[in-house]
Amino acid sequence: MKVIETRNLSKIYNPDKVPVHALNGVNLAIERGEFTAIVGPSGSGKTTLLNIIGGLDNPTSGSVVVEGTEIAKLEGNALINFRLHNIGFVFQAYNLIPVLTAKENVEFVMLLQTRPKGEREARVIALLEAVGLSDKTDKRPSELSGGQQQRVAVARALASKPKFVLADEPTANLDSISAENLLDIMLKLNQEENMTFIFSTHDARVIRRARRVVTLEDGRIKKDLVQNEVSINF
Amino acid sequence: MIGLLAWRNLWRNRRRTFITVASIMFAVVFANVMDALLSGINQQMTDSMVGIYSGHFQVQQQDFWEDKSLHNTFIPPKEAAGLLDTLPEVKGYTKRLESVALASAENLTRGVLVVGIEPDNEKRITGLEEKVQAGSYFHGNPGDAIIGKGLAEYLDIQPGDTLVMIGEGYHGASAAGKYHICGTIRMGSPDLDNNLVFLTLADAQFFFAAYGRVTSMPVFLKDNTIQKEVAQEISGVLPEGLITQPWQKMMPMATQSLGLIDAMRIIVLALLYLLISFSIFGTLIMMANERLLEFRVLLAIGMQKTKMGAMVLLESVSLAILGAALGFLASYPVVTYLNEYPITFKGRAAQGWESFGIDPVMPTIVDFSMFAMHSAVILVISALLSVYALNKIRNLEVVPAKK
Ligand SMILES: Nc1ncnc2c1ncn2[C@@H]1O[C@H](COP(=O)(O)OP(=O)(O)O)[C@@H](O)[C@H]1O
Ligand SMILES: [Mg+2]
Repeated sequence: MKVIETRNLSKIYNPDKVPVHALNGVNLAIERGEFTAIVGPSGSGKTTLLNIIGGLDNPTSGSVVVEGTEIAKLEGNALINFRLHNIGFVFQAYNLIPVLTAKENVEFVMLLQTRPKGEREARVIALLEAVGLSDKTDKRPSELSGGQQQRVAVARALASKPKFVLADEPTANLDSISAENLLDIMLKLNQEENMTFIFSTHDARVIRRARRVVTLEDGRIKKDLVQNEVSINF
Repeated sequence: MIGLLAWRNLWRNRRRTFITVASIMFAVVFANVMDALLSGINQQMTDSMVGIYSGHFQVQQQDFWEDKSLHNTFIPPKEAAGLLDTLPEVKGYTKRLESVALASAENLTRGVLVVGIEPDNEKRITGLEEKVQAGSYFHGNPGDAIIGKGLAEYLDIQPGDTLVMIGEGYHGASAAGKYHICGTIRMGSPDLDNNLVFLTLADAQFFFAAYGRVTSMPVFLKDNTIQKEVAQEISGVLPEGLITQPWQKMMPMATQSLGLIDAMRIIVLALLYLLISFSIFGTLIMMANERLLEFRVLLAIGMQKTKMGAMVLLESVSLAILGAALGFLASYPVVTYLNEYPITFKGRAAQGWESFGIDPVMPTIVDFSMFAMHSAVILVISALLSVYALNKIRNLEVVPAKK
């Protein structure tokens, strides 16, 4: 079943000054449960693609359909609420609210969703356990390492029970051990919860973990490969 | 949730929170002290000026102010006198009969204003005795007169000399009399000093053949703030044809210069508010801009802008409430202290004030409604300034356009 489908997606920045064609007719379909890496050199359009799929930015033309909803047609609070209930986000940095603890950061999206207290608490414990941070629940982001912060961000992305998680270069600021560790956790959640992940990266070791690798170049899909020998070590 | 976030955000940069609260607090204190002081000066000047002569209001015949003739005199009504004696706000009242006459000594003559007064009341209420320059005040000798210093110089006479006056009395009776000058007086206003002749009320009534009649009953109050209420109460018992004339009508020049002080007070306060606004605004700009990244993440993960706005508003309004409340509390001791130990002008400044007949001691006015007003104004300013941050949030986009 298709979770995401982009049709002829194009994005031109600064159309009236010096136009930048960040995306040129991208057609991409993502099935439920996929673990997809978007790769490509810097400036190839990875961030732009993820932002548009996530409803954070508008395409210049083309469409994005998420489980039957054409999200470019949503506006204002409808769009914000759509993101809240359907999409999990992990950014490269500054993911977490600095004044909230790890536990509170994960709980935050569920509070926005107005889920009952019991459910929230159970899910926070389960998710922090899943990302291996049961002992850091009451730490603020500034008291956590970069890798730990990204793991909290992954836990938060899943807390809202989204249809998929978008992660734009989630390992870019991490050392290689933390990066592999984060990928292991994402892969585990992908397999155990059948959560769909789409992440961008240009780290070869991260790319190796992906099931499907979509390569962008100059805003076009250059290659789209399904890898068989994915190494999983947990 | 929003409350918790706002609370934590306030603790996030303690020093800035502290500085902001402190600056709001000092602003409130400063505004309150400033206002209390300037209002105090205003009141002091008012009370001094009206205390010298006019009173806070006068009971007069309704046409007297337009036509100061002896036709417009009246017999002091007992009801009014009775009420004035009992009202605690009334410091005192007196009676006067004034009209014009010609005064001459040897071969010099001049038109004068003859004012019949009650010596003991005037001494007690207006301190008239202290203004006597040479000779002495009234000591109960019939036929005594005290004349303005300038008039004495013009007529070239001094205490001990004789003054002859002629004029027209009540109902056209002719008035004439010979008086013994017991003193000269300096009222401060050249106009008065050049023209004034004080007699006792009884002598003046006899001179003008206006037996038992007066032109005015000046009423002196404890302070000016209660002028309207007391005047109204007195008006209630006055017989037809008598009115209470407020000092503002009788001394238009003084009213104007007091208005000037009031305008100054408002300008100073406005400048102060402007200064505070900049300080609060600076904090808000910093707070909003350094958190733009965070706001974007919040927006991305699904926090509605109205909730973010509520959070920011709660933060800035809490700062303002805290600052304003502390300012309110801190103002009280400062203003009370300056009320009990007033700012006192010394040296030339003091002489300046005194030459206008104003006591150079400037107590503040302790007025809680004033405190509340300034605290509220600063609160409102802070809330209005948060519009900046709110607008930032309103226009927030997760992916900003690159310049
Ligand atoms: N907000 C923006 N405004 C203008 N140009 C942009 C903006 N974001 C990205 N670009 C341009 O679009 C192209 C694709 O950028 P991006 O999607 O960030 O690529 P990647 O994430 O693969 O490095 C680049 O040439 C970049 O300079
Ligand atoms: Mg990028």
